[in-house]
Amino acid sequence: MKLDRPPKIPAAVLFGALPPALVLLVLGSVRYGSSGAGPESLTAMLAGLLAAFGLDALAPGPPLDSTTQAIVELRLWRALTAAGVGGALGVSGALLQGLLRNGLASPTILGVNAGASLGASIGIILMGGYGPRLLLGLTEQNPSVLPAVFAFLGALGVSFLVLTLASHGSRVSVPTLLLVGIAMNTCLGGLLSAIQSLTLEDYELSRAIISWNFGNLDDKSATHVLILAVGLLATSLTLPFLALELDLFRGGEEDAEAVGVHAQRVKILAVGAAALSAAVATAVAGQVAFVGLIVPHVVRLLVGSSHRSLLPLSILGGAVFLLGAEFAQLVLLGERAMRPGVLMSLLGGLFFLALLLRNRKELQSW
Amino acid sequence: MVKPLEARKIEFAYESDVPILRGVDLRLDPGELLALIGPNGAGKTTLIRVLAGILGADAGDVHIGDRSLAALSTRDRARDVALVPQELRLPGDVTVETFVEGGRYAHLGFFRRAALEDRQAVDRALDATELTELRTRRLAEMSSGQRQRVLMARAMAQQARTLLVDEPTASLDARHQIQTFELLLDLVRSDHSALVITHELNLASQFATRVALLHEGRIAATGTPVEIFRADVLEPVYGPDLHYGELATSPWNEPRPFVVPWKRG
Repeated sequence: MKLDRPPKIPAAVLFGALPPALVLLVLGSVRYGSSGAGPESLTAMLAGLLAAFGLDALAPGPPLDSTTQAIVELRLWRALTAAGVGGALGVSGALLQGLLRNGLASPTILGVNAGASLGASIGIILMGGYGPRLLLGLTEQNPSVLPAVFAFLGALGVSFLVLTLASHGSRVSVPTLLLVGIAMNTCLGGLLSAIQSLTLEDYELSRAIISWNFGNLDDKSATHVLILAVGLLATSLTLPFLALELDLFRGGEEDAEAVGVHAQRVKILAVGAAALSAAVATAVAGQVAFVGLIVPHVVRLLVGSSHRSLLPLSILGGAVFLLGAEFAQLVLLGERAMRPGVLMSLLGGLFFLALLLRNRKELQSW
Repeated sequence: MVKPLEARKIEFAYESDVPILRGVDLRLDPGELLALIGPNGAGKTTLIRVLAGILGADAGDVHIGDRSLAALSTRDRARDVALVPQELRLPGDVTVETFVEGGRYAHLGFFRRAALEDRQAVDRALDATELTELRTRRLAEMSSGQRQRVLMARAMAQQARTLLVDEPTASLDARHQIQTFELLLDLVRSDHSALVITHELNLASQFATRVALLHEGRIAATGTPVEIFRADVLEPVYGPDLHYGELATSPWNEPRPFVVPWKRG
């Protein structure tokens, strides 16, 4: 990480600017969403939003007709899901980049995405009738539940496995963590390909698996938003106990220990929090890579490497980034909008390349 | 209160299994300025990291006061023992002040908020190392000598009574070398003890209360500078090309020997 330049703007500016931007984006997404006309006026929108949270008694005007109300809610949960997923992936990346002292780290390194993909694929296969009949009954009411639960378990399970394999006794080695992560991603990639090639004949199944891997923000409900909120809250609660510690980690693990940081505890807490938030995000929205790489990186370039600002700003920044990208898609592309995972891969690939080119001089000295 | 730091029969090998420390006994008493000298590769830095509790010994143990270092929590250990590494690798956007505040970590409460006491300790440490005017400077903008002082300042802010210092004068000019040792001398005279790794034999000789010579993972000799800086002690370790002499004055107001590398013709 090359951070010899001073921060470009004070952190307070971002803390001040991002929350209003987020609110505006949510409102904008409710006003100009897909699937039909939205609320006509600001009053109507407010009434719809309040009703969505069960607060219709406070509404300034008459209740909306049921179609408009349904549209408002659909768009609202979609927007909040996008914001929550962006925030969860952003903070996950920020934690891992801080812990690994590497600006190229992201939840992908822990195997979160590959684990989630594998889990979701297995979930989809089970739903497709390949597993015990018992499970099918569960999924009749809410067909996305099985892939989501399996994605969550896969993401957490794989990151836990990576963490365990990278530990020697009770010590976690950071370089080993990176290498184990790469190896694990390769293994899981192989397994995924195997599943895809075995189910190639089953058109519905392979379509569902591929679709999951593109990420999905449609058809979200209040439950999805609630799950994200709980995951984000749990992660946020760890931040006061990680911010200063990760700052001290910047001088290396041993140096942090010398001033009294319990390095092992920090590593486990940081990896756990990063895995949890990324797993929740991936379980809710499917595969949305690169947000965890881009967001903390940009925030760090803007406000510097102090984690007291970097971690919370990565939540806000991630939320604004993903929701903003989605909103821009809706406005510019309309019905031809791409799935979030596809959009992020396109943006993320370019960003990654730009990052490498920027640091080409340093890379050549490796 | 300074507690004595004592290493008993320390053995240590990195994963290559080549033993680095082969049964080291070393004691650092309150008020001592102990210079740890020895050729490159003798195991000095490894020893200091074991003494700081960052590396666990394969055999033997380290005691601080009457407690084993291994039994202390990281925080408690950091309040008793401060390690000053040889160099710092940190992003350059960190300011001097922020870095020195890091030394307060072991004193902070549950929510890691700095109290008045913490700010005062940082101020005193910056003052003692003449960094007060540079406190908002970013590390990237500092010379290596200044960075060395920043490291010392953080250890002082840590308020540990036992200081373990790894080559503090490696990149300093003569004036700053003297200043660094004067600072250490002031500290040991005011309720601290310090173990200093150094290749500057003459700084060790004039400032140290005691010298320990580490050679091939063992303590080859310990004693006062007068007892150590002699041909019969140093020659087996450093070879014959040293010239010995004595100066009548020193910071301790007593004659101390000096040693100059000088190739014989």
